[in-house]
Amino acid sequence: MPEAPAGTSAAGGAVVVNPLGIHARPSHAIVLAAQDFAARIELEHEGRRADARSILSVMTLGVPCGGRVTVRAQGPDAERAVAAILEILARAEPR
Amino acid sequence: MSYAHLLSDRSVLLDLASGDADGILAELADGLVANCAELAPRRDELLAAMRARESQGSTASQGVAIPHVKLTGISRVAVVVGVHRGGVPFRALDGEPVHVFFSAVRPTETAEQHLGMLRWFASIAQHEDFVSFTRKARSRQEVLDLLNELAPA
Repeated sequence: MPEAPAGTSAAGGAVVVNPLGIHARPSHAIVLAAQDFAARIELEHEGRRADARSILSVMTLGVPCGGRVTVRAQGPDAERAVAAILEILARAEPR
Repeated sequence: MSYAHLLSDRSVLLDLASGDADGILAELADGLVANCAELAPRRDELLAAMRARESQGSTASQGVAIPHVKLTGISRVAVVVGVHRGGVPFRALDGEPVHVFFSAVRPTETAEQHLGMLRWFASIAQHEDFVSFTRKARSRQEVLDLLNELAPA
């Protein structure tokens, strides 16, 4: 992944409410959302980290329903990026 | 947890030949049917479900795709691993051709196992040498050995 421009960083946390956890469809939604931002975005669950732009990486986390995820972003639009990913995590099923 | 017990010599489809996503899904559906007798009368239903699922959002990236569906009324999970040596367009999120397919059909009731299985596939697929080694495999057993070697503990 290219180096994100230095600048702001942001972070936030969410509890996954999807009954199936972060399975393939929510993972897809996260990757599509992440592609809209310049910021480098990372998800963390139980000490394991994933690149939000890679669906394989996100699915590797295996976050179940009720699992806690920390989202961190680094780049010019970091705050908006974190907000967008948190919104997906807090959604029952991606639109 | 390992899901290697779901795979046998017969679950490896070593030479997928189709040049597009629809054809690949048909080859994978046929492979699942060949591995699970109770799917035989439901082959067309299975393929329609796989096409509908992929149209909802790509499972493909980094040369690997994980097309998977659930079906009511089946008794167990069936899995195939398909290899397309030359690579085929599969609407991947990164736009790259796909060489390896993990395809699964599961009973509707096995939601918890589902997340674990996706994670297991994705963990293997994330290994930097997985795609290049699998493309060059000379036998189905070589693919199985690779999966066992790269599988998370």
